[in-house]
Amino acid sequence: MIVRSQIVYSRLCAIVRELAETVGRTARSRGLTEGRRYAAAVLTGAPQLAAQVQFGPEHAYLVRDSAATVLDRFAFNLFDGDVVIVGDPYSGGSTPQMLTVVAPLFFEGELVLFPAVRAQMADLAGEFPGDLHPFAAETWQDAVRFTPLKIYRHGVLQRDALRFVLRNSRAEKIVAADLEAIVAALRASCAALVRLMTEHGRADVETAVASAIAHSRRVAAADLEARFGGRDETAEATIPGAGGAVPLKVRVAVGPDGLTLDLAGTGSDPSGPFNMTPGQVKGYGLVAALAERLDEIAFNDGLLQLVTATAPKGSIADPVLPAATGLSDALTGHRLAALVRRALGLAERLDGPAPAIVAFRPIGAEENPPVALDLAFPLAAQGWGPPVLAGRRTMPSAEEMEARERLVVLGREFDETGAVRAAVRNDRMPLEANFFLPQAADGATAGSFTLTAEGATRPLESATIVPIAEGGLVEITYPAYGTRADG
Amino acid sequence: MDKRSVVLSQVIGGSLNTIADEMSATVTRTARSPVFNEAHDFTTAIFEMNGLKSRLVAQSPGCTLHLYAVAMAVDRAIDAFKHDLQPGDVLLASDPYNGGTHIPDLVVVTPVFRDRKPVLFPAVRAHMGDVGGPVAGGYNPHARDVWQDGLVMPPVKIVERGERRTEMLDLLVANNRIAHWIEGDLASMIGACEMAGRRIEALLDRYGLDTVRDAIQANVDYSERRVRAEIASWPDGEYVGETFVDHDYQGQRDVRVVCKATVKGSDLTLDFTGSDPQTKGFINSPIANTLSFIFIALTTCCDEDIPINEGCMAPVTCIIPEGTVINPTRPAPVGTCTCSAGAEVTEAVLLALGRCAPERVGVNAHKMPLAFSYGSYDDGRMWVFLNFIGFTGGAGAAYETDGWGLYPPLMTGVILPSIEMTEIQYPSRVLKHEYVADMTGAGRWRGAPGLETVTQHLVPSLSSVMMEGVRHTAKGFAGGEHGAPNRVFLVESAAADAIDVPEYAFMHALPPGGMLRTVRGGGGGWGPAIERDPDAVREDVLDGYVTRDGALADYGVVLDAALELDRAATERERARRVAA
Repeated sequence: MIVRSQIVYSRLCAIVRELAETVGRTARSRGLTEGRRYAAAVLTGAPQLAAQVQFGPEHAYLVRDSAATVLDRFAFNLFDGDVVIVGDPYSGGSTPQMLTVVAPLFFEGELVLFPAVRAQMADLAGEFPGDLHPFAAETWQDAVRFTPLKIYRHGVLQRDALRFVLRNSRAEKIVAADLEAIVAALRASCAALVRLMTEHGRADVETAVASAIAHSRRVAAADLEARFGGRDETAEATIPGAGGAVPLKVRVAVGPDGLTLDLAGTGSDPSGPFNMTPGQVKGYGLVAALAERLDEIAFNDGLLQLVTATAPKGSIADPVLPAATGLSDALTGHRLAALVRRALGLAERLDGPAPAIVAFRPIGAEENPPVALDLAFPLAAQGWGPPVLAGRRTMPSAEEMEARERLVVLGREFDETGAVRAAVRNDRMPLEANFFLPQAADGATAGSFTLTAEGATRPLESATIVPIAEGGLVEITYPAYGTRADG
Repeated sequence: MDKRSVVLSQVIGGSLNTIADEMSATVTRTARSPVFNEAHDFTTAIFEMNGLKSRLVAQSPGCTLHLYAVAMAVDRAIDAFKHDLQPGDVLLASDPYNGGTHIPDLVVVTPVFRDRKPVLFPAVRAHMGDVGGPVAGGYNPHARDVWQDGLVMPPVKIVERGERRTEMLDLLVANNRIAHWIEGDLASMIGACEMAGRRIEALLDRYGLDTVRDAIQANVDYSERRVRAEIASWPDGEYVGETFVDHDYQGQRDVRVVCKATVKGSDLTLDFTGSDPQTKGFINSPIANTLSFIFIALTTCCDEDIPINEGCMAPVTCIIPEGTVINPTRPAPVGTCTCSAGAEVTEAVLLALGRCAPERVGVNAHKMPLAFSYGSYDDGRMWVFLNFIGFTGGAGAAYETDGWGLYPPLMTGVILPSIEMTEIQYPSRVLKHEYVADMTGAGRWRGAPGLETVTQHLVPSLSSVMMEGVRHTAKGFAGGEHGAPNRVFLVESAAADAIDVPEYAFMHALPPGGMLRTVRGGGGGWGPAIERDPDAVREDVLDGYVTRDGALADYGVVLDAALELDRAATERERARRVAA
């Protein structure tokens, strides 16, 4: 029975991997094809997370939480062939421009298993193209809030719903293509899930999922208990809020049931962009505690069940509408992960915040897909590849960026301190860009920007709509959060 | 058409107008936001499906600038669902590039079926207190594309076969800062359309579709005949009117709107070729908005007993080049189009027609500065104060008519909100609302007097001001003087210096007790001022609209210290001026 369950669960995981792969290979936006800013999952009707492939830790709880919002919203009004989108910090989501697409699947008349994809869209309106608004004071400045909305009903495209999504995008064609790719991938997954359940029987599949979830929970709980059992520590830092420094305080306790995060004492920042939703809090807590083991344990609801978190309502760890959340992953998540690890006595940090740039044609262009100039990752202590908090995202190909965007990557090198120095030249057309230069935990800036244009070089801090003339050169320094393996 | 048919047409036309009136009353009495139930910033209408094109057949007096704009919105909404329209459906739209004007103006429309086909469409167009986007209230002078104006709402079904599509309504509410308003306001708009649907059904049951259609056609034909008769009374020729928007709030000044009116028999061609290209800032007027302001200009040049329907526009051909400030291409921002450049469209048409029909023009030219504020109630809910009280005044004069009224004529259906209700609904006080002397365009008939309003917010607020009518004030006609410039001041406290807003102020933080002081310039005059009846000037002095000095300076009317008219001195002064 155990072997049979493992076989069935492995097939389920393969379906999820195929779902993720299909999205990555058929989507059109750079954010998905190169940046891999998405996650794919299969959930149970509860919903519980049966299996998930995620290319970033921020998705950990949010596919499930978003799906739960969808099921709650359409409790008695979901049908085979429906496809529902949701993308709202206050509906199980986190940052703007991120849509979760859910395809409820009914087997023998019941919602047994269904696939979902959570993916960043190129643009969903808001004040500026893309997802980077360093001064957003309200969520509507970040993006349109997408509460659960059916774009297919009984398999029939809801043209007005899709039109609504696309008319609220500066990258209409790319968003349309990405959504099409995601829906197609979800449908293929649905077919695969039906085959799986037909072949093995619904009961066996449900048993396999339940076993896998129980197993992941058992293994991870044992690991936490073994490494941190009985630990109960508090760590504190600050977030540079719009109204001044905001305390971020977390008490971390590890018991037989898992990890408890108590964020009492955390302050509020209703007018800044660093608010993080409860799902994000748990996700960063989970990843911080289990980073060293995550690749060894099946990612499913068993892991999600390990973390409980409480935070004062209205604080940056449980904001209330309309607080903005756009830079929660970019800064607050890193800071929280560091605090959790400090409280757990883990010396090695996972990662830290990095500078970010999103460039676009001067605002006013009709089709204006933004380009994230995420040229590199900060050096982390874990060695090769992107740091843990960047997940399994990939660095953009310099060749692709040059060919597609006419943004020429002139350099991308470690310096002697481990910092990455990258430079990109705009050979395309006059552009504008938003810049985000985060503060490190010590209050200094994490990294730096300079912009050279028309013979003058100037440093930049966080800013919006900075013109980058044709020929303009942007140099970015990514800080080092670890040391080079070669010393 | 025999007499019985004429009477029947009028009865049916009157019934449709009454249904539109009842829709208006329904909205007023059931909506939640003061924008609806106090200021009446909405209009209700009924359309007929004629092939795949809808046409306006009845309308209740509402906010004039919505008048014709709703037509294109209905057209586009119907077009979007032309193969998927069912009894009980209700459509909603607000997309500047899909038949809309500025984003806050939402249109709700429902089809009424007969013989399995949609035949008539009651519709409501109304201004929402907020529409999401980067800035509360939907007026963002920094906007450089339509998404910086607010949430774009292409045609969607919000009720499907009689069942509310709550997911779509939830989406709208989620993207609105004033959820407690929009829920009630949308319900009132839907309710008004559904009520109208029942009334229209009863009308169709009673008279039959063919008779109703014949009556509609007769009324449309009648309006067309009347408008054609008016145009035919003007001399054939080409007449040009030119005016300017002060600025686009992003550095471009003196944005030109020009109209060449060609009168040929009973046909009128309005050609806006030569108007400036679309601007970076949010003054661009989408085509539906421009047509609506043309419609306003034209209909107010005609007799007011002409039924308002599609027939009014039948004699008119409009040439509005794409890519101009009055027909921009997506995604140019359009947030303030219902103030400017819409007002300039009307003004340019009136200036052109003023050259061939001077006795028909004037009253509908105005310039409106926008000043609004927002903040939060104690319970955290947001309020957006659109400052309808501060917008008042500014009407121009016309032949045999002084400018009058507390609302610019382009918005005649909008009414001055009750000050008491304003003070109940907002954490605000209206400290002053008074005419100001010597701030109107002098003329044989003078413009409406200038008006000063002071509004105080008792809690912290953010205020934005968008000036208009400063560099280019309300125009005078037929030799009348132009109106005075508008001014708006931000006053942080009684002790602080007032900030005289030059072109605009954006989200200026006012402390509790902060004030908005609006000094609205009066309307333009009609005819030379020295032709004004000296007794009328004296009356104006006694009423406080004109000072004694102003009477002399502007009108050549001499009053003694007791404000008695010195006729001899007046005649001498006027003769001297004529001679000079």
